[in-house]
Amino acid sequence: MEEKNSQVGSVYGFLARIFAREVTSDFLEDLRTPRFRGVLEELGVDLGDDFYSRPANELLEELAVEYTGLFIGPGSFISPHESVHRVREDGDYGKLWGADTVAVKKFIEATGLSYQSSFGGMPDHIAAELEFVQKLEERLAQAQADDDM
Amino acid sequence: MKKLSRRSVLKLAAASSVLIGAGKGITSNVLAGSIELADGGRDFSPVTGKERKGVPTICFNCVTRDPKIAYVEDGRIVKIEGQPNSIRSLGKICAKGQAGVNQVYFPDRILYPLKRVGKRGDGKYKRISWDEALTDLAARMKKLRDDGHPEKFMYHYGRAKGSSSKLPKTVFMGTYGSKTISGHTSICEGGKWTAQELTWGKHYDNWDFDNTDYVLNFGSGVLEAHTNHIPTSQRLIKAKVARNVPLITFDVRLSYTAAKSTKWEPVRPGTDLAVILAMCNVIMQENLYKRDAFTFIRATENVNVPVDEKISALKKHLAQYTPEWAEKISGVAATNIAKYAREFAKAKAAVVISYRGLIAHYNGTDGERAAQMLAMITGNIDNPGGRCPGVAPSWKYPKGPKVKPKAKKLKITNGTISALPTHGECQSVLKMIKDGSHGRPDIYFWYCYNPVYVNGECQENIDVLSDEKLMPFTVTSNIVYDESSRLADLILPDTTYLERWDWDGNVSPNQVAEYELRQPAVEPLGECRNFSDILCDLANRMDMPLGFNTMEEFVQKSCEKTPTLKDLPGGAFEYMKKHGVYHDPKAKPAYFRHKKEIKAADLQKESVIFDEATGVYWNWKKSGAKDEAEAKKHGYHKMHYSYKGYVGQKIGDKVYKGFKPDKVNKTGYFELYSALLKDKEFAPLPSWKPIPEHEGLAKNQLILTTYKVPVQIHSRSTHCKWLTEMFHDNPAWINSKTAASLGIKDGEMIKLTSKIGEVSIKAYVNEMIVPGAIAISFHLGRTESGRYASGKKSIMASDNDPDLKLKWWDTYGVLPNWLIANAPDPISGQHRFMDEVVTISKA
Ligand code: SF4
Repeated sequence: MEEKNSQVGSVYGFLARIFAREVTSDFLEDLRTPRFRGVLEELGVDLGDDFYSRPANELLEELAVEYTGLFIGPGSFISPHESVHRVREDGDYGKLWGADTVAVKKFIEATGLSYQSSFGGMPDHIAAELEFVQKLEERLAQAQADDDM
Repeated sequence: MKKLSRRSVLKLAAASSVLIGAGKGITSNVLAGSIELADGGRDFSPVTGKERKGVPTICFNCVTRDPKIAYVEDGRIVKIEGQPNSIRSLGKICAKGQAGVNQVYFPDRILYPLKRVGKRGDGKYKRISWDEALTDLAARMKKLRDDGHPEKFMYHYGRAKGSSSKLPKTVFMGTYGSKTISGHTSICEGGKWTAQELTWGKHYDNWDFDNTDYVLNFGSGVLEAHTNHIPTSQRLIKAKVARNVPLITFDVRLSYTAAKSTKWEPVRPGTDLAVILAMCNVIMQENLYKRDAFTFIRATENVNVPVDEKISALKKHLAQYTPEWAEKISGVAATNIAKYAREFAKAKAAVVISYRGLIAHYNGTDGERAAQMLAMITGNIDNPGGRCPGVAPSWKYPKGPKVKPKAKKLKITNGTISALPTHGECQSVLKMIKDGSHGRPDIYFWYCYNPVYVNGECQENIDVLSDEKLMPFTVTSNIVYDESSRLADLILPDTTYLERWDWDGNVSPNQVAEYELRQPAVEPLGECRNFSDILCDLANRMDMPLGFNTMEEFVQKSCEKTPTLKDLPGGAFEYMKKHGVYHDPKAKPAYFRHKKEIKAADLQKESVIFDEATGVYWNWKKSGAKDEAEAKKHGYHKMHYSYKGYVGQKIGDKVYKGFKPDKVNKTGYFELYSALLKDKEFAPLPSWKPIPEHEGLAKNQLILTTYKVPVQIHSRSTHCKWLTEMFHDNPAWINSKTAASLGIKDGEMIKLTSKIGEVSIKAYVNEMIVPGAIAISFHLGRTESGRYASGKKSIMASDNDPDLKLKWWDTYGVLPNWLIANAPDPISGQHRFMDEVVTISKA
């Protein structure tokens, strides 16, 4: 049981990593292992033969450009921050570092976690939130293992 | 993309965890550190995110009194949780505890002092000021006292514990000079207490489930409605689940406790005593008893006989009670009786538990004495894992003025029938007032009590309380306009337990005392004032100041006086307000206290004398004797209050602390043989006594049994909407065979008639009750107590609760007390709640 929980945490960890920053060479190496390819294919995610065969530096460059275009800009991009998307009950919406950012930061910090200074996003970045769920799942698994429920 | 299956997600999870575990792929974490768990005790509003104020206090939705934390948002209690620092409750509370919120905010609550204006019972009241109410009451009380008749002021209380017991009963009434005081213990478990006082001295047994290996349960709903519910039930469940401890429950019906037991043994009402006697017999005849234990046992008239003689006397007495004999009486298979007896005696530690199923009968005192015997002869008394005299905090408190008047008393609180009503005979009080031959109170003041509803013979209770000739002036302090408040001339709106101060603490499940403080989580609603605060006010108005002016002051002074607390950091009162609970971290669990030897110096103290006949050392000065000569002339056994001077018991050439008496002049032995009972012409050793009314019943006559459910308090909770939403109907349980023989179908309306009254109720036909019995729960059948309880709006109620619109039930159940006579167990005065015979017919 606890193993499953910590493993579920890993899914969040994996997703957090995907959203947190551009793919690095180590990460690419792992993604291209036959095991991971098998899992992704089973989930119906086909990244194409190209992804597994092209030279790594070429692919990394292309992925980095794509990441930037998706999440950073210029032009139309998708902000990975909650406060930009979520309409609050008081109608507030669309702000970077908005009221929800503050709420998320406070909430996460209240649990004893802190933000790494190397992280460039706002506190309500989707990667931060996914990683927070990862930590929660891991903490739950630990409590179960310690018989501390 | 394909639909995600659980399997593929787990695969992804496994693959991801390899990445994370390898630590190379996923290195760029956003968050640092780890999630720290707080100890609890904090809470946040899910709407505003604001931290709520947590106030440590104590539950009073039942007498267990679990420490808890009330969370307050903008001056309103929004939720209640357990106190994680409590060694008794271990941070848990039950559904009733959570519904404490409803006690404060139910829409039918009494919020202002009310004075009757119409005929008593007409429900016409006028709102008056506190000053008017107390001026009137003080003048009446003062007149009685100054005329030399303080005893004509009667105080009758229900659920009052800790400082809310001591301040009114001991300090206020003591200073005023009236001992016309009645509690309600005889309608609860008084017979159990008398039996314990006769055997091991003090009352209240703790069941050491943490250390036990075997549990026999005679008629206790320990997992659903016990007087120490949360502390004991969680430990019993843990013992059962974690250590596979067998739990055998003897009960007339399949209670929740029976359902969770290893085995439910259905037993005919009032016959558990026969089963226990047969078990003791098996243990004695098969020599499974603990020889050592007999050193401290009294089994004969002569206290000085050797152990062998005690053993043979007990063997001889019990020989008549064979398992086969008990089977015929109880319906429990003889082979099982013998089997459980052997298992119980052979277990390393075993505990016999009991409550009203065993006690609330004609033979209840002997039922509990027999349970005590079963525990003692197997060495399961005051040992780890056995039945132990309870350990509770010992609070010191201000006693009021040093010089107090000699209190007077109307002899109406003990009935006239029972021999040793050490906890009174509450159910007979109104009957005694009706009779009048022992006098009548001019002022009858009841608190946290509902005399009309909770005793048997409801109609007579109503008649007496309504009669202005029998009861010239009636007063209550209450939060709810219930069946009795309706008959009060003056209604004083009380605070709930979440709006008041108290020091408190109940018995610990682990033999280490815990001190507990109740403090207001919120300001009292409306003009409600705490009952004890009013008494302080009344005392001042009658020129008899108590030395403190509020319960808060009383509690503060008590904290400062109590040795265990007085040196706590920051001051005892401040410490308790902040933490809510305290136990001495160095305290060891108390066991085998009777084996402690008394120091020679204590025996040589002036006025300590030795009584040859009983082997008791006692201080005659504490016994009320005029002088030593009088004390010696009567001897320990006969001098009225000699037990108050008990010092120790001589056994062989040693003097032990023994089993110290509390309410009666027993010796320091564990008295299986009671000379006191013999004096009163009862069998001195626990003996079988059939219940006279249960003999030779006709086919349509059934024995009525009563019970409680986990989500209601006996009589104080039906106005709590969360609880009444869960339980608001109580059809009568009847066995399918009995029903078939009478042609009664499930769901059909039936009529039950007793010698006292008649009720109509729906039949619930099932296999969860023994044939020949019929069971009706308590709690329901309210005719007042507001809309959630009875469908009826109370006088001066408000409509401020939006949930009133969501109330979906319109059944209010039936109260069995209309059928039950106010009859006492002839020894203890215990109300015979489980003995009534009813005739059944189709309605
Ligand atoms: S067991 Fe009694 S004291 Fe404990 S939480 Fe429940 S109602 Fe309150």
